[in-house]
Parts: sequence; structure tokens; C-alpha cells
Amino acid sequence: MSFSISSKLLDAMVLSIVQREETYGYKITQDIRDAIDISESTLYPVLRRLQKDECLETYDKEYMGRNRRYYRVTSKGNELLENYRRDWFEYKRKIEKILINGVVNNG
Amino acid sequence: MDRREYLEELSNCLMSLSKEERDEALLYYEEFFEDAGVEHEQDVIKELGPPQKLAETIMNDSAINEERGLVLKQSYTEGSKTGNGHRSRTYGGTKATNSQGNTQKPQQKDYTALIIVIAILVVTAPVWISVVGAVLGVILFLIFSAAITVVTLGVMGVVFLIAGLIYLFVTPSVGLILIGVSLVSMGITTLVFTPILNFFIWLGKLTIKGSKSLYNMILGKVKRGEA
Repeated sequence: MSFSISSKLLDAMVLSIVQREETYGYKITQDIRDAIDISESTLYPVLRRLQKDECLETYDKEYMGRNRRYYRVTSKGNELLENYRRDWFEYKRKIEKILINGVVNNG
Repeated sequence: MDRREYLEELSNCLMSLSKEERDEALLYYEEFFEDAGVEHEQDVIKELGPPQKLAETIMNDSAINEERGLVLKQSYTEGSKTGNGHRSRTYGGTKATNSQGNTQKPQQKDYTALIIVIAILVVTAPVWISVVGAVLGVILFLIFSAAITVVTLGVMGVVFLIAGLIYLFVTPSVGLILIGVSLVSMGITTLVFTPILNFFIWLGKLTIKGSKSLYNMILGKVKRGEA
């Protein structure tokens, strides 16, 4: 991949994954890694930060006789994700206008 | 190194964190190993990199450091040639945030200049306060002396006038001289009395105004401090 990813975009992707399905750290990491090239060590700080910002919350659930920590999106997180999605569409539209169509000043 | 040793080493590297943060991180990676499965244990260890590096990543972000969350894949795994491209781009991103940070620096410089000026004023206070105080004291002394002189002249004028009027009947020449002197001194008094009186009224008003605003300033600071 030629393009690097910003930490805000990574936040948005994590929120989106967890919004679709309440899930756990390893699964989130693998889902993100399906799309972009990040280290497995990248996600913990992101999850922890989102948790501290009260955008994600955790709960423990038993799985195969052991504990597993699940994440879910808070209402604040949902709001943030909506903002991220809006920003993303705007960003994508502007980039594509130039990158795909080569248009600079038309509209 | 197996998983247990890896996590132990990680725990040792996270000693500077609070117990809560450390436990949180260790629990996360313990579950991470569990979910990856025993068969992938060595893959995970290789992917996560040396425990010291992982600890650095955790600690950098535990301080809620917004922009430093990204450690791109293969940054720490050995023998990666494709990883270099990503790394340089990550550093590009870091540079961008640095330049954002720089825009705030001029503000900080202004503050340091102000602080230096204040510090110099405080340090040199014994010199300039005494000089300013001496100058103000001399000015005030001169004004007070002038005021006293004027009052004395006024009193003298009245006394000389009375004496002159009495002497006018005893020794007219002396009486005339005394009346002349009294008129001169009373003239000077009336000429200078009003401006000096005005000055003292102004000084009084200034003192009241100054202490009022000083009081408000201190009170305002205290209130803001409470908020």
C-alpha cells in the first residue's frame, strides 16, 4: 500500500467495526489488518485511548472457560463515528475530484 | 521465548505505569495470545516485536498522546524489506504533526519574553524601587514645602496687615512698609493656593481610585482562582 493512514482514520475504523458487532481485541486487530498494513501492537493504544475518551466501553464475557474482554461503542462514540463518516465522505469527494477526474477548480 | 516469558518481560518493562494501566495492558495481551491460539504463539511474539518495544508503544499512548498511536507493520520484525517504505511514510506523518505543534511555539516564546522581563524587574527591584521612591519622595517633599510656604505667607500677610494698620497710626512709614509686604505675600498666596489645592485634591482622588482598582484586581484574581 502506497498510502499511510492517520490515527483519526484508524479510530474511525475501530469504532465502525465495534459498532457493527461488539467484539474483542484480537478480532478487531485482524479485521483492521484485512484492510490495512498495521502492526498487531498498534491497536491496544488505540482501544485504550478510545476507552479513556469514553467512546468505547468494555465488558467481560466467558468464552471456552476463560475470560474475554468485549468492546462496545458508547453514545459518545456513535456521535464521533458519525462525524468521522461525514468528514470522510467530504475528504474522499475532494480527493477523488482531483485524483480520478483531475478537476481542480470546477465547482 | 514463550508467551509466559514474553508477558513477564512486558510486565517488567511497564513498571513505570500505574498498576491499573499495567494490568489492563497485560490482560489485553494475555487474551490476545489466547485468541491467536497456541499454534500462533511464536507468530504473535514475532509480530509484536521485543517486549521493550511493545512497552514503549503502550507507554507512549497511555499518556494519551494523540498522534503517536501508529506503529506500522514490520517496523520491528527483522528481515523486512517492504516495511521500510511504510516506515518512512509514518515518519512523514509524525513530521506533519510536529509542524502543527510548531505553530503554537511563537505564542510560548511571547510568554517566555514576558516572563524574562518580569523576572528582570523582580530581580532589579531593590535598585529601581529605591530610585523611583527617592524621586517621588523628593517631588512630594518639594510640593509639601511649597504648600507650607504658601500657608505661612498667607498667615504672615494677615498678621503684617493687622500690624501695618496699627503702625499706620503710630509710625506711618513703618505701617506702609508692613502693609506693602503683607499685600505682596497675600498676593503670592492667592496666586499659588488654588493650583496647589487642586493638586492635593487630585492626589487624594488618585489614591482612592488606585486602591479601588488594586482591590478589584486582587479580588478578581481570587475569584478566577476559585473557578
